[in-house]
Amino acid sequence: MKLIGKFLITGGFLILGACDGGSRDRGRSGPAAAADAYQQSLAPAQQALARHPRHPRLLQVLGAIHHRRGKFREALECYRQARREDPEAAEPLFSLAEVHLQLGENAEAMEAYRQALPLLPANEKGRALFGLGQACFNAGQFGEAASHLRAALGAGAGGAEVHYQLGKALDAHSRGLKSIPGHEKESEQAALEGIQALEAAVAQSPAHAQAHFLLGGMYQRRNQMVRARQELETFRRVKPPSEALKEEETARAEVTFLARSLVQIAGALIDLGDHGEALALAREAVRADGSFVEARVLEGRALLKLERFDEAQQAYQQALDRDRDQAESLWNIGKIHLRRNRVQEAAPLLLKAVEIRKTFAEGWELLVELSQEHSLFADRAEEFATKALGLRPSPKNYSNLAMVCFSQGNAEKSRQVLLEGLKRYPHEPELEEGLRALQQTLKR
Amino acid sequence: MTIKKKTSLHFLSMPLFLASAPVLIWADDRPPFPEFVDAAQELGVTFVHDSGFDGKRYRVVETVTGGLALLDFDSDGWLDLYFTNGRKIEPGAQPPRNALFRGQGDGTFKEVGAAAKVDDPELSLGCAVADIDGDGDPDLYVTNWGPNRLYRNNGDGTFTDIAAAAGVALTSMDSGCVFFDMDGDGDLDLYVASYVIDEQREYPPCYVRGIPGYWPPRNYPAAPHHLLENQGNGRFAEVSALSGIRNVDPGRGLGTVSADLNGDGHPDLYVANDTTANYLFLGDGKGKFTETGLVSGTAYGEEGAEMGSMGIAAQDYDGDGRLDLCVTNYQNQLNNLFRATGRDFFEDNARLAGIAEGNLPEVAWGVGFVDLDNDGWRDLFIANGHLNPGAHEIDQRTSYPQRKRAFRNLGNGRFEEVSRSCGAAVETPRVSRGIAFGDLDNDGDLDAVVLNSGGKAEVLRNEGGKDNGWCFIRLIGAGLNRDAIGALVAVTAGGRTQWGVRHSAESYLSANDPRLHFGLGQARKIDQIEVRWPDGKREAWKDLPARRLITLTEGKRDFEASELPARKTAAGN
Repeated sequence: MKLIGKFLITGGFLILGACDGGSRDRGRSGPAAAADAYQQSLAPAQQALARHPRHPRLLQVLGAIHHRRGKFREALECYRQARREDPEAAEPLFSLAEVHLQLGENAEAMEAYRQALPLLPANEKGRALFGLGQACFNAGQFGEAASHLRAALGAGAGGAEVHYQLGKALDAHSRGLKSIPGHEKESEQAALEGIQALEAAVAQSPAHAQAHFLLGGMYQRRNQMVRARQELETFRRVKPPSEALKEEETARAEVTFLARSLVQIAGALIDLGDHGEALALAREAVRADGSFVEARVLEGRALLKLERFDEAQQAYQQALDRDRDQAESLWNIGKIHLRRNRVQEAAPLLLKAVEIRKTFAEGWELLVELSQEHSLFADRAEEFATKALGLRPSPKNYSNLAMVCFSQGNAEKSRQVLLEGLKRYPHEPELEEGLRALQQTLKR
Repeated sequence: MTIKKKTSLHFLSMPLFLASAPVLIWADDRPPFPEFVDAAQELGVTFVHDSGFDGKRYRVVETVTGGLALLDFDSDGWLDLYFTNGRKIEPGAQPPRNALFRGQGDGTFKEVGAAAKVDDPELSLGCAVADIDGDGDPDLYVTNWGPNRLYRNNGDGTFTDIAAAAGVALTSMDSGCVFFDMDGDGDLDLYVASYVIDEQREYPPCYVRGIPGYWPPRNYPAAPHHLLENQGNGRFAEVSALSGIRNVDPGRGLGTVSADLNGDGHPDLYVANDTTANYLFLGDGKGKFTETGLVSGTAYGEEGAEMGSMGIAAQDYDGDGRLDLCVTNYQNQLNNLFRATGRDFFEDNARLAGIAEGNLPEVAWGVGFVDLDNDGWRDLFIANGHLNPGAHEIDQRTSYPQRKRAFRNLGNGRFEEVSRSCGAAVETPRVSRGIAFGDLDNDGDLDAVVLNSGGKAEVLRNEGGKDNGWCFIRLIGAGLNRDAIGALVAVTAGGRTQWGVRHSAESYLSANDPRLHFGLGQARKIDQIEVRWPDGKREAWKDLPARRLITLTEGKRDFEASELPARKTAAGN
């Protein structure tokens, strides 16, 4: 149980719980329907900042509150301050860029994206390059926009939208070049590449109405009228209908925004150790929007930090009642069961949580421990250990996989794993000891 | 002074309208763009618009009122101004009325709406002007939420509303309207765009982020539009279904123009719809129309989204002999600059032409392709203003009153924004709607009159230098279409040709100066004017003087070139 205890006191409980606001059910409209969520969000954000001055995440939340209300200058100031407080964080730069884009300040947006680039890991650079492409397009620099968007694709930013934006930039670039004598060939190349990009967009997302629309226009300009008609007909078919704005939608948007803001502030306060205040805000979010799953999750997280386990379990259970796949709730209820030695109750919850969040290394590691110490999921022990090692190739995980293989009678594979581990971590005592023990056992 | 000259009459044997023209590009030493001064007060234009908003109830119609017309109703050579007005739900004992300001010839105006019997107290939206009975004076059609008016000019300074007798007293929420000869029978037919069907009794606000405002148009069903055929006997018959204009998804119609947009010799219609796809109805010249908005590239914005389209300018801005369109749109949507490619297809060049920057926060309405500096290239002028008084509360980028935008045509397919150099009258934010262009002071350059929603009208007097040449062309057509509505005019001077079309309404629910204006740059004379008349006949006149009002009459070999009427007093310009 030592291992389980360690998970309880580290971030292991919470690591699944990044709030993205995406998990919520819709349809209910709270009594605060027509209220102004801006003012209601502003006060707690400012109070939290008073308690934790210049905290970058809180500044980021405050910026988002201003931003959403169209107070761009105030938002810029918050994001700039967040940037100053945490120069290594890319998020404030993305927020700055977004505001500049909306203000039509394309040069400033480009600069922010450029500054974000070196702060991002390789697999996320595409996001900044995509932003750069959009800023260049808005500035009328269509060729440069296309270059950045190509680079975004190269950096792994896939998706129909990137292909579409590239197609759009190339179409504009091609049309711009066409009017310049001597650039006809270049214009034609850009048009052809633009069509390819748009075709890629609709291949990935057949209902991408804008891509079909633009393709229709491009084919029309090239006098390919049959293709043009086909694309325009598809555009007409897949184009989403324009629907009336419903009063409950506008009210709902306010309630959602308020709850989301409160949850974001609460999340930052938990990270700051201000658990009591975080709990109060999470509960306020629950009151504002009882259907907002993330509010229940934050409530559970704050209660867990306050070691109020029964209440935490209750809050997480309420989140699960609305979203049975809410991974953090599954995980932490499972952990609470473990804490109470209710391993049988815990195991299926933990397994489900990890199967939902497949990249949660600690999760696979815990499942390995459960399989070894409690003989649970014995037939999947090797799978768990392999996944844990794949996500986190630590000496411990090499050792675990070797142990599982050995216990399943596969001594050779066990040896291979240990050798591989030692290649990565030469002279690592745990692995050397494991290899010695294995060789002695094999000799006997 | 009047010059009368005989010249040879050419019936053109080839489509000269499509002949390529040399491109004149100004060097960097362009003269400054004209400044504009709001001279409304000085000139006695005291019109104050009432949108109908009472501060509590939010009727969508209040957001879209505001057309006006420039016409010379008394044929004295001086433009007069007609303003439409709104109306509150409870208008009180003295409801706001439409107003007619007569140009008195001394540079000032006097309100004569009641005396002329055009001071309609209904809630009016737009208007179109044309001589519908061929008697030589302009008549006026006014769209209302309530019965529309057809004011026949009696020729004695008064009008008579003959809408009911003529069968055009439509009662839907009508907006844009145009006279045009759809079937080539020589008389003027009438297209009337309708906006929405609003049968509400209460008008609660729509709260967006806690701020009250108007419900979006998409919350109201679109109203069917109307096409009315002139029977030639003073009556019009509704042919909406027969003509094909109803074979479309309903659109919330606003600005409307008619012109031969695909160059086939037949008048077409373009309708700016609010939050629904815009229409391009191609006419067959026999009264039948086919909607081609999607395939022509003019139905949507650059990304295939329905736009909140308002106003339209339809002229040739790039000098290729094809009519282009500028369509003004709602906030967060770029205005469209639909350049005709000559293959029944337009491409939106707003970004490429340089008019996109800074456009997104604006709600744009009145618009004109007008040569404001007389350099021979049509510039672009746009009137802006939001419809929600609380717009700034939910988006700092925008505001209820907004500045106007002026773009100088660089002659190479691109525009340069020159608003900042146009003076305070252009830069001062207003809640503008309709704008109409014309030479109010007969000094050879174009002035502008702006209807501001819920505010004072502006008369933007063009204070530009008089270095460049110009001409105004008055067309007199044969038959009942005496104003030659739909005629296409090509003016060749100084080595290049420019084109203009005669509209009965344009911009946002408005009518411009009935005289076609052309800037001539440094050209001292006009080499040739060619006219394609609405009945398809083509005529050309050679060697005409610059800086004159030139009157061309269909089938007459002579032209008349006269100076613009001089002011009765020596003061001013």
